[in-house]
This record gives sequence, C-alpha cells and structure tokens, in this order.
Amino acid sequence: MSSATSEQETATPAEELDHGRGTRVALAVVRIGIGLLWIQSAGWKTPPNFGQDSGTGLFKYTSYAVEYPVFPPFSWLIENLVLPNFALFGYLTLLLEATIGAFLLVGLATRFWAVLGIIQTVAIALSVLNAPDEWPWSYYLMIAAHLVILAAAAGRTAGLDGVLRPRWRQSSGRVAGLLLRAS
Amino acid sequence: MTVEPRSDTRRVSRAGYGLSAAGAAATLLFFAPSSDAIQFVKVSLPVVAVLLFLALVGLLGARLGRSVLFLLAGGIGLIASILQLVQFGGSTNWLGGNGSSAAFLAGLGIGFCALWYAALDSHVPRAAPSSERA
Repeated sequence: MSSATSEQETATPAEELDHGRGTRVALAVVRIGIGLLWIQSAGWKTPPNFGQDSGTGLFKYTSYAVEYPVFPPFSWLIENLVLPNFALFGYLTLLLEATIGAFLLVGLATRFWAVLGIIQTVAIALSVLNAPDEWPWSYYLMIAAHLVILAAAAGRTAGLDGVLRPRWRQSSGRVAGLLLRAS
Repeated sequence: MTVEPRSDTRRVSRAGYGLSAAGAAATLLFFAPSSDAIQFVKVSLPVVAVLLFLALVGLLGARLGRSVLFLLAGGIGLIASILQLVQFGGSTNWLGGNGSSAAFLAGLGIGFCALWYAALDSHVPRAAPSSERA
C-alpha cells in the first residue's frame, strides 16, 4: 500500500462550516447592513447636476480619479468619457446604487446584486483611493462584505430568495433558472 | 422537487410580516437626529405616512392571506419611489425625501411585489366539502 493511500485512509474529514442560527442571523445583518450602506449613499447624489456646478458631491469625488490617479487608464476614462457627460453618469450612479441597496435590503437575487456591489466598490476605490482623508480599508472591507454575501448566498436567510427559490426551482422557465443562479 | 403548500404559505406570510415591520420601524428615523451616523434613510412626514400605509396593507395581506394586498402595498411603494426619484433635487418635492428614501421605498415595493408573485400558487388548499369528507 502506498503512503498516499494510507494517508487518505487515516485523514479526518474536513470540518463543516457552522450553519447554525447565529451564522444565519449574522449573514442577514451583513446583507441588510450593506443594503443600508448603498441606500444611504444614494441620498447625497443629488440631481440634476450632482454637484457639478459647485464642485461638490459626486462630481468632487469622481474628479479625484483625475486629480489623484490610482490607475491611469481609469483616470483617462473618467476625464474623457465620464466628466464631459456627467449628468448622465450621475443618474446612472444614483440608479445603480439605489437598486443595489433596495435588492440587498430585501434579499432578492442577492448574489447578482452582490457582484454589482463589488464592481461599483472597485470603481469608487479607483476614484478616491489616493485622495486625501480617505481610508483605503473602507473599500477593502466593503469588497470583503460583498464577497461574504455572494459566497454565502445571504438572501436565502431572512431574505426573499429563501421564499422564492422553491417556486423558481419548480419552474422550467429560463428566467426562473437565471434567478436561481442569481440567488 | 415538490413544495409543501402550507409551509410555502407560512414562509410568504412571515416575509410579509417582516417587510411590514421594516417599513414601520423605519418611521422611527423621522425622530432621529439628522446625523449620517443614524439617518440611513431620510424619512420626512409624508414618507412616514407612506411607510405606515404600506406596513398596514402588508400586515393585512400577511394576516388575511390575501396576496392582492401584497400587490397593492408593492405598487404603492414603487409609485412613491419613482415619484421621489423624479422630484428629489428639484424645486417640487412632495414626499420631502431624497435618494435614500426612494431606494428604501423601492426595496419595500419590490419586496411586496415579489411576495405577491410567491403567493400566487402557494395558497392553503381549501377544506373539502362535508359530503366529500364523509
């Protein structure tokens, strides 16, 4: 008998993750907390010019990508594409962040919205990471929290994914299949 | 996989109670000091009225098992959210909130509409007539 085989026979099985009540409550708290983070951040993105006329608000933070570059190609994109069309970009940002917050709050298609949350956090980080008075770990922690929501499918506990997945599983439709994956 | 209708209904009702409670609890933010540390959602007096109405209709939907009430609550939430989103930042703002109010109302609206959809086929089967039971 080879040594590898004998090791396999004697190895203890990997420890299971804790799926208890405490874990489920903590996951729901993380999901709802991150949802509220996006909801609150939709509050200060004020249309119609999003701070462009006064150099404040969303315009100020977006301009940081050019003033304090983190990743030069991203800065170029902001300078040449986003800032010249800022009102459109402002509305898109407001809609995206409000929607991420709304869906994470109620736990619907949670994994999909967690992915969008990660993408949006990376975009924000690429704008402000080198700006004065920023704490880079805010963004690293946001990404980490979204990863937890994504990996644990946090909408299935105290969220609407948990209510709707049995129904989606019964359906043979394409949309139901996509929603199963997104939740 | 088959779904037990009775447990499905219970799950939908419980979620209905949860969303209603969330809407009612958010009205407390009206009394909170205006600090970013606490004011996750801007809740003005008209938003309080909308949230209480949503919570009441959602609560009735969960209590009575009437999915159409979830649809009503969801519709009100979404309409209020769109109104808030269109008006905020302009000179007319009937609800007096901002983007956070719009996002929160959208969340409740989407949630109640999803519950209406979930409840469509999950009703508890009615008891058979007495002649059939015998």
